[in-house]
Amino acid sequence: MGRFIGVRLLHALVILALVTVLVFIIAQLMPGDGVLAAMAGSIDMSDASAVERVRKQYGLDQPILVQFGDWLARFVTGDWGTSIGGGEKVYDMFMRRLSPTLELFLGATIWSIGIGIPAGIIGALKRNSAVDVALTTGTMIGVSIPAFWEAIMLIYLLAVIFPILPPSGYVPFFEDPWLNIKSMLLPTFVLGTHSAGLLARYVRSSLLEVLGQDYIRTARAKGFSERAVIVLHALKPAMIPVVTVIGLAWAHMLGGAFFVEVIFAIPGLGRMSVDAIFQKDFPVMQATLIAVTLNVLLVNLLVDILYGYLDPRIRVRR
Amino acid sequence: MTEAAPAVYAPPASSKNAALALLRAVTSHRLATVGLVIIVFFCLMAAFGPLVIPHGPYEQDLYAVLSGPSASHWLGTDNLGRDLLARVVYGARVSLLFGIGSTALSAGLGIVIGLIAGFRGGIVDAVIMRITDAFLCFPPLIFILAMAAALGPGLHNVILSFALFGWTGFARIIRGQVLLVRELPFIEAARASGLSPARIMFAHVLPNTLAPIIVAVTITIGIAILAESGVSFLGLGVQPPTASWGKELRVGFTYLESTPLISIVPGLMITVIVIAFNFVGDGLRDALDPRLKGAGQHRE
Amino acid sequence: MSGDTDRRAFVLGFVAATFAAALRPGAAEAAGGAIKDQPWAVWDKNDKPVRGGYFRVAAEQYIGKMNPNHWPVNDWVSMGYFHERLMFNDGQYKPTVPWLAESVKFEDPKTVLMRLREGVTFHDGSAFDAASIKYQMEWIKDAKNQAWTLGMMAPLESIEIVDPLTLRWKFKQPWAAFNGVMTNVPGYALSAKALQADGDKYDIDPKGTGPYLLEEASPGNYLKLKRNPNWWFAKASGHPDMPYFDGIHVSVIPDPAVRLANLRAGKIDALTLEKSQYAAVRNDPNLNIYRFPGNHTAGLRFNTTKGVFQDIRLRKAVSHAIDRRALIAGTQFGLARIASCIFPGDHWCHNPELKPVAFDPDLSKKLLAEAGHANGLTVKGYYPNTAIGQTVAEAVRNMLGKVGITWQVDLLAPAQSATRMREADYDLATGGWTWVFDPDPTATGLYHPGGGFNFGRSKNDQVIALVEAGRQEIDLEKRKQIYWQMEKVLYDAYEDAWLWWDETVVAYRKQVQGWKNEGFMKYRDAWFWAHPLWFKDGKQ
Repeated sequence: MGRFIGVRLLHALVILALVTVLVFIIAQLMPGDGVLAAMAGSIDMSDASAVERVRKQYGLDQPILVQFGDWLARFVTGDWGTSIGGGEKVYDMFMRRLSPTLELFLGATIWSIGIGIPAGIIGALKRNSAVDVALTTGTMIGVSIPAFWEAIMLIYLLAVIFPILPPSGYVPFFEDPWLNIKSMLLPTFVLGTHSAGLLARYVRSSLLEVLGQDYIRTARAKGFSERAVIVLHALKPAMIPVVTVIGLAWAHMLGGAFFVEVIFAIPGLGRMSVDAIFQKDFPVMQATLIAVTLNVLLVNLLVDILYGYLDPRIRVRR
Repeated sequence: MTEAAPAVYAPPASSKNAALALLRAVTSHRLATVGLVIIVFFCLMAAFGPLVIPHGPYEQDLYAVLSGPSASHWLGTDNLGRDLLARVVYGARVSLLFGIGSTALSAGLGIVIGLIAGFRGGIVDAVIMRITDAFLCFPPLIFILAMAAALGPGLHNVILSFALFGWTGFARIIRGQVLLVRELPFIEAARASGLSPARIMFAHVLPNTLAPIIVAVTITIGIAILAESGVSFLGLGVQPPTASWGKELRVGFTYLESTPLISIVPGLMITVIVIAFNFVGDGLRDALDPRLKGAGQHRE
Repeated sequence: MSGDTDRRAFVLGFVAATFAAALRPGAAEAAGGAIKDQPWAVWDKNDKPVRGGYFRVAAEQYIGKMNPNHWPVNDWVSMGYFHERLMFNDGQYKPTVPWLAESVKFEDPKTVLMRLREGVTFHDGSAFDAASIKYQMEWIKDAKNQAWTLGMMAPLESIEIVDPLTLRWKFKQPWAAFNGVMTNVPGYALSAKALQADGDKYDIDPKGTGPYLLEEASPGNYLKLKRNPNWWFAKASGHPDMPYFDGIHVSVIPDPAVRLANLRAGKIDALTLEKSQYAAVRNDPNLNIYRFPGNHTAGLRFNTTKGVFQDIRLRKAVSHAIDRRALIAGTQFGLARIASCIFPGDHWCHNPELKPVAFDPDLSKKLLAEAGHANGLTVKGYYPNTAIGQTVAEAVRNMLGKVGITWQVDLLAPAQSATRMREADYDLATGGWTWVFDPDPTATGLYHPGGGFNFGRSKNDQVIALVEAGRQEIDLEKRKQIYWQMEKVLYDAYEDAWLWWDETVVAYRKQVQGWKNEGFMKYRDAWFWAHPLWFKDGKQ
């Protein structure tokens, strides 16, 4: 196990380096910088030296390689820089936006599991029945619907026409738990239903595969009731791919989170990273994408470890 | 795009049989059939719809913007007084072409890279796999948005951006398949008889790895259509006056209160066609994956 | 175009313009007087304002830094809740309203005697006085404080404290634009005590003099402000209960459709509407909707020095091909007035004799043929990729197409537009101007070689001469005539294609009392800050 983790860590470092370079390349490709555009849009532009002063302050007058070098040197000492678009220290900005996004991810995962697993199980057990078709279709709608459209329709339905929930906004959990949950209900639902369909499909096919195994037939032959067969013997091994799917969904969630955060006005990492790209806010871009990569790598590592733990076949092979 | 590859599918006797087998696979699955019908309907709509509808998608009438359904405009008009029905019908073309085009490009790139990685092995494989891993660490939408913004406006740039990310999934699948296939006896035989590696790759290895690719292709088309709407939300993508479902959805967003049809119709269209592609993909996977029949083969 | 040389030229051009503006006389109208003597200090006796309630508004972006001299600041509306300026612009967009300054008098073109209001304190309790203003201005001018407004204060040589409430400002050369600068960002009064203690902390913990003070800031999410019980204006105006709200809650909501949803759901109390939302909202029984001229001209600009639009006939062809009335009807929902030239119709520097360009597509086709393009003309350009930008671009493109002109317009995000503009890489692109106060920044910016939005695309010698003359002219009436003439020259030359003068539409929940649209249109800034709103019965 130790060697396994060691190798993975090495891989992770290589990937991290590659991602940093990737971000650097993208940043270089983006045309212009946001300072002139932003200043021109908001202040009386009679003094153009102001634009130059600001660009110099943020180091934007340097060639991009120098900017990259400066950023890297400071980053490794813990100084993540200052955001060009919002003025905050990037570290503070990141930490502050981490918990809403984490909460969003967690809530989405709960919805995903809560809808996906039962749907998959029932679908497998009642294979090809009307219930199965209905469940598959229902969960597939979540996967297929454009997230921002789903979001605005739900807001109009459940916050304007029937004012049950708040239309947007975020309040930290420890400040007002009930309002926090109410505000996060719709956003996590939109995000969660997007992967619920995939989870349901995986659970369904996995359960079907397990139910076709020899040892299940043996159990039935031994006289166990159908329910006992399913619950005692089939469910646990069938759940193994759930871990993979959730890991996968978690890794990809930031993109979907962006739309949800914009529409529902949640100050999270998704919005922060996309805004940074459009404003060519280099320090923020790098910080978020590195953190996101780390997140993905960690999650993948965890998934693989868990997988090895849960599936005896893999453990034995190692 | 990044799912584990199913086990190897036995090579078909001929390509005509393969096509029939595929069709049978799809139609035996109820939902997949529904999906196929929907896709055919939309393809017909995209191809022939423009001949049937009364208005074109580009005629503006600034004094009749955002009007609801009427006798002359069955779905009403959009923010420039253009016929919404026409915009949706013409938009189908663009969205479908985008979906198919970006998937084709992704698959093409991914297949070539994956074949090379799987076949060559060694350092080449390791490097390609690490690069793939790095790409996959990136949130896909964010990458596509960034590339589309960097490359500039226009649908072709969005196709390129999508493909620049989409190849990774296909590469992975193909590579996995190649690793399984290349030890099989008939490949050994081909190698022994002196065929060039390229020939072996494309003529012998590739046809046997196609099953999971086909599944991935159908699913990816759906994802691409969704990506187009996401990119349009940020103002990238098709340029005026072209219509696409994503663009109309974005426009309709602004006028949701006054003229909900502008967003409801494209939104529904996108949802339905993506579901259709997902159903077909599911059906294909169920049919082509021998494990479901209790074959008992383990995952790699 | 080589990047570095152009950037230098750009900066030099601007510095030149700034100094030239310094020579510009004009607003020497000494403002002065007690609150009760001001024309806008008129209140409706029938109004019975009541204290109470938190006023909830939405902003598209979080404010960013709260020291106005630091960049970025992304929400100037909220900035005005806790910071006030020495002077305000009046209803004609002239800097004549004394606010924190009680009077401003030019002793000679290079010296100003400014008397400050008494009884004003900053939110940290320190006194608003001559010493603190002097400190603040010197703080701005000290480059190590990284104030982007440093350039605006360039003509200042020194400030003398005459007595605790009186300052003598000395300039390096005549600075007639001084009043204008005092209504601009450097004029925000910041607590010297707070600046001195920790200049960086001021960005997140501001201490101004305004009616509200910062209670809590959650970057990216919201801003909570609470009532300033010691607001000087309350006492000075004889309305000790001001401001009436207990506080203001600014929520950051990026998407305009969601902002509207919040208004409809009663979660915010006021909203500046998108034009497209007006139709949906105007019959809402819970809302009061108000319209007034927005200080914005929409238009298209030509590249008159490179490419086909050097030929005036083609510029005429484009301008006459555009049906402005239809454009306003379709894209602005009737909420704008047709523009004849660059300055807004209600501005003193606009020439009222100019009539909007007529919609005449036949004339366009004739001119095209005359200029040798009977078979059509293709031009390129860009326009903003916002929702409204796309709509306008498509509409204009369609109109031009009907006379045979193909406009290959790219819809770009702001950062990319800025690049194209800098490189003058277009034939026809987005033009117009937002916020015209003193006419010189606009005129210089667009039509002078040193201008920050020109980059060589416009070089009309007659206009340039008039721009420079306008900076020098002392007499107000003569100055007005110069700008009227400048507009006429621009108009006759079809230098740009102006489309409309914008209107702003705001919605208030009926619960919110006190908005008088006529008063606001007449006095603008002064009215806005002198007549705060309140909730009916003090309840939200």
